Amino acid sequence: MDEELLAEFLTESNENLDSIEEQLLDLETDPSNSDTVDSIFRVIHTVKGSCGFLGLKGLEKVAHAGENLLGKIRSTKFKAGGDMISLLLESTDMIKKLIAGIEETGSEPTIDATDLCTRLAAAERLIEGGSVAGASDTGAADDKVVTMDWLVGIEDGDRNLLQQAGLSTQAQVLEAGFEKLRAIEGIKPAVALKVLGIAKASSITASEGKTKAEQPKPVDNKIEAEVIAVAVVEKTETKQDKKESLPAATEQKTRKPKAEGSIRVDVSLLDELMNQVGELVLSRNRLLRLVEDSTDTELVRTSRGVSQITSRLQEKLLHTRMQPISTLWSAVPRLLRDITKNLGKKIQVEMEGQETELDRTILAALKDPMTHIIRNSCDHGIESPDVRRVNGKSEEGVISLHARQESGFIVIDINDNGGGIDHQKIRAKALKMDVITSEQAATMSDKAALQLIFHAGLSTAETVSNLSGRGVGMDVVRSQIEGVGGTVEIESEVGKGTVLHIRIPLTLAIIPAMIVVNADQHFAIPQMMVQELIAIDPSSESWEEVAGKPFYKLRGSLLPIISLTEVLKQHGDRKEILSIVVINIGERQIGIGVDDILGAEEIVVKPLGRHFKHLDVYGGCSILGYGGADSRLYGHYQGLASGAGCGVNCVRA
Amino acid sequence: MSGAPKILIVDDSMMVRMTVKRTLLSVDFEVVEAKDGVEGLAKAQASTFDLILTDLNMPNMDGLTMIQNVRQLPAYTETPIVMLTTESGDDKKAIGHESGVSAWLVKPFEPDHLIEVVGSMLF
Repeated sequence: MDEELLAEFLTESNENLDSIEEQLLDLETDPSNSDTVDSIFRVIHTVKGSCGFLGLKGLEKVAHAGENLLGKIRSTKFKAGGDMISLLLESTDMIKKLIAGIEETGSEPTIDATDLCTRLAAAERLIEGGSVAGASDTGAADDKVVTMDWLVGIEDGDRNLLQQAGLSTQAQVLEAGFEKLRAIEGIKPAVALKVLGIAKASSITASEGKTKAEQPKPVDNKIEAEVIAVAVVEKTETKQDKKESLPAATEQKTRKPKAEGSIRVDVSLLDELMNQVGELVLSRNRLLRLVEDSTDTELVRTSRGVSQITSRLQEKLLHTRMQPISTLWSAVPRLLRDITKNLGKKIQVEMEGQETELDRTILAALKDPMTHIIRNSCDHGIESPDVRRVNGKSEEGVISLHARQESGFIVIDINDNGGGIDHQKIRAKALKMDVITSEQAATMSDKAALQLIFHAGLSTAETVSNLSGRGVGMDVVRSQIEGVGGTVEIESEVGKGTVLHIRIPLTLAIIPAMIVVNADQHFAIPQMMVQELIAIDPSSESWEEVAGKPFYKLRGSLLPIISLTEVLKQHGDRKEILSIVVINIGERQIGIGVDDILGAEEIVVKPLGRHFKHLDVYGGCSILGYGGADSRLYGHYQGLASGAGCGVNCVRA
Repeated sequence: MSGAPKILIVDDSMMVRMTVKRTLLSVDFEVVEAKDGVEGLAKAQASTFDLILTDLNMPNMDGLTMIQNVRQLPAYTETPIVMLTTESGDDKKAIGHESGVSAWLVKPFEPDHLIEVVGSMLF
C-alpha cells in the first residue's frame, strides 16, 4: 500500500469524520435539512471513494452500505428518525473503528461488519421509494476524439515501436490518436498518452516553422525526461501561485490545503521541548539570582535579555500545547443521546465557552471524569419525564457545560437541573460507613457534607442508588481531576439540580509559586491558590482556639490555620507562626502558618520519584533559584489539610 | 514549450486530486487542482484547460452546476469534461449529458483507466 497516500487518507478521513457525528445529531433534530444530508453523504462518499484506491475492502463495504442508505435518504427526501440515525451512527462508529485499526497496524483490522451492512441494506430497502440503487459498475467513457497536437523523452524501445508502426512525426502520431497508439503492442497506455502530450506540446513550436517529417530528436532519454517532468511541475506551481493572487475571494490555497499554515508535530517532540524549556527556566532563575548583586551592567542587561526571551519561549511553547475544550465536548451530544435512549429520559445539552483552551495533557486527563460526571447527571440527576412533569418542571432536562478562564485557572461548571442531592442522606450514609464521626456529622456544614460524595468510602454503586445521588466512582473522578492539579466541588439543591465546579490549572509544567520558608526549609505554594499574605504579631489577640484547633480572626471571620511545622513534623525550634499564607481550597480558605515568605518565582514542577510517592503532603518537587541545588518539595494541600485534621478535601498543585 | 496538455481536476477529496495529479504528471501533463465547483470555475476562467475532470458531489458548488457554468464560457464549448464519480445511474448520466459532461469515470478507478479515458478524450 502506498504509505503516503494512506497517511493522507487517514488524516483526511479523521478530519471529516470528526464532524459527522454532530451532523447526524443535527439531522435528527431537523430531518428535512437536505444540506445536512448532503454534507454527511459527502463525507461517507469520500471515505468510500478513497478506500477503492487503497484497496481497503472491509472499510469500503461499510462505507458503501452507509453511502447507499444516505443516498436513498437524500433522493427520497426521507425524514430519518431515531432508529435510522442510530444505525448511521453505528456505521460511522464502525468506520472510525476500522480507520483507527488501520492507523495502529497499517493494515485493515479483521472486524466483521456483515451484520451492520445487512442492516444498512435493509434500512435502504425500507425507504425504497422506487428508484433503483446505483449498483457500481464501470462506466466506460464515451468515445469522442478531440484532435490536439507532439514528443521528447520517450524510451528507445517505445520509440522504435512507434517508428515500426509508421508514426515518426508529431503530425502522424496526433493523427493516429490515442486509440491507435495504445493498440500498438508493447506500448503502455501511459506511454501512449505521454507521447501524445509531447506531440501536442512540440507541435505548437514545430508547426510555426516546419511541419515536415523529421525524425523525433534522439534525445538522451532518462535525464531529459526528468528535466521535463520537473519543468512541468514547476510551471504548474508558479502558475497556480500567480492565479491565486488574482481572484482572491474564491480562490483558496489549492496545493496542500492544510500544510500552508500548519504542520503536524509529534506530541512526544513537544513534550521533549517542554522539558528542555523547563530546564531553561530553571537555569534562568539561577542566573538571575547570581547576577542580582552584580555591578557589571553588561552582564545584568544580558541576563535580563535571556530572561525575557526564556519567558516568551515558554509562553509560546505552552500555546502550542493548547487545545480548545470543544475537542472534549464534541463527544457530549452523542454520549447524551446514547444514555437518554437507554434511560428513556429527555435531556438537552447547552455549552458555553467551548473555545476555552487547555493544555492537551490536561484535556486528555479530563476526558474520563467529564464523561463520568455527565453520565451520573443523566443517570441520577435528571429525573424521568413523568417525575419532572409531576414536579412542575419541563419534561426535558438540561445539562449545561460552561468553561471560562479565571486567573491561571480554567473553571468548568457542569450543571444539571435534575433532582439534586440531599446532604442529609449523604451525612447519614457517611456516618453509617464510618467515614465521619457523629460529632463531625453534627457540626459539618451542609456544603461540606455534600463534598463527602467524593469520599472513597461512599462511592459504591449500591450507595448511589440508595442515595438517589451520584457517586459511582466520584472518588475516582476527584482523584483524576486532582491528578492534573485541579479541584472539584459539588453544590446541590434538592429539587433544583446539581452543579459541579471543576478548577484546573491552564498548564502543568511551569507555574508561578510563592516561596516560603519553614524550619529553614523552602517550600513552594502555587501562586494560583494564594489569596493573601499576612504578617502577624505572635502576641496578637486575633488567635482563637476552637475544638483544639487554632484559628485566626481575620476581618471578623475565623480562618483555620495549619502550621507547616506540625503537618510536616519538622524538627527544629518550634517557633511561633510569623506569617500566614491564605490559600483558597475550592471556595474555602485556610491559612498556612510559616516562618517566612520569600516571594514569588516561576518553578518547574517535576513529579516526585517513586520512593516518595506515598508522601501525599507534597505535590511534586522543584529546583529553586535560591542557592544550592537541593530539591525542594512543595505542598500537596489535600494531604496537608487533611493531615491537619481540617477535613478539607481536594487541591493539589 | 508551453503546449503540454493542461488538465483541471476538481474534487473535494485531496486523495482523489493527488491520485489524478500523480497519474497525469507521470505523463508530463500539467495539472491544476481545485477543491470545489466555485474554485474550479474560477480556475477555468483564469486559464485555459484542455480537459476538466470533476467530481459530482462537492461543497459550495457541485460538479453539474460547475459544468453548466463552464460551458457558458467561450473557451470551453468543446473542451472534454469528465465526470469522476461513484454514481453511475443512467438518469444521472442523462442529466450529466445535458449539462455538458463528455464522459463518466466511475470511482474508484485505476490510474491506467484514467489514462485511457483522458487519452481517448484528448486525442
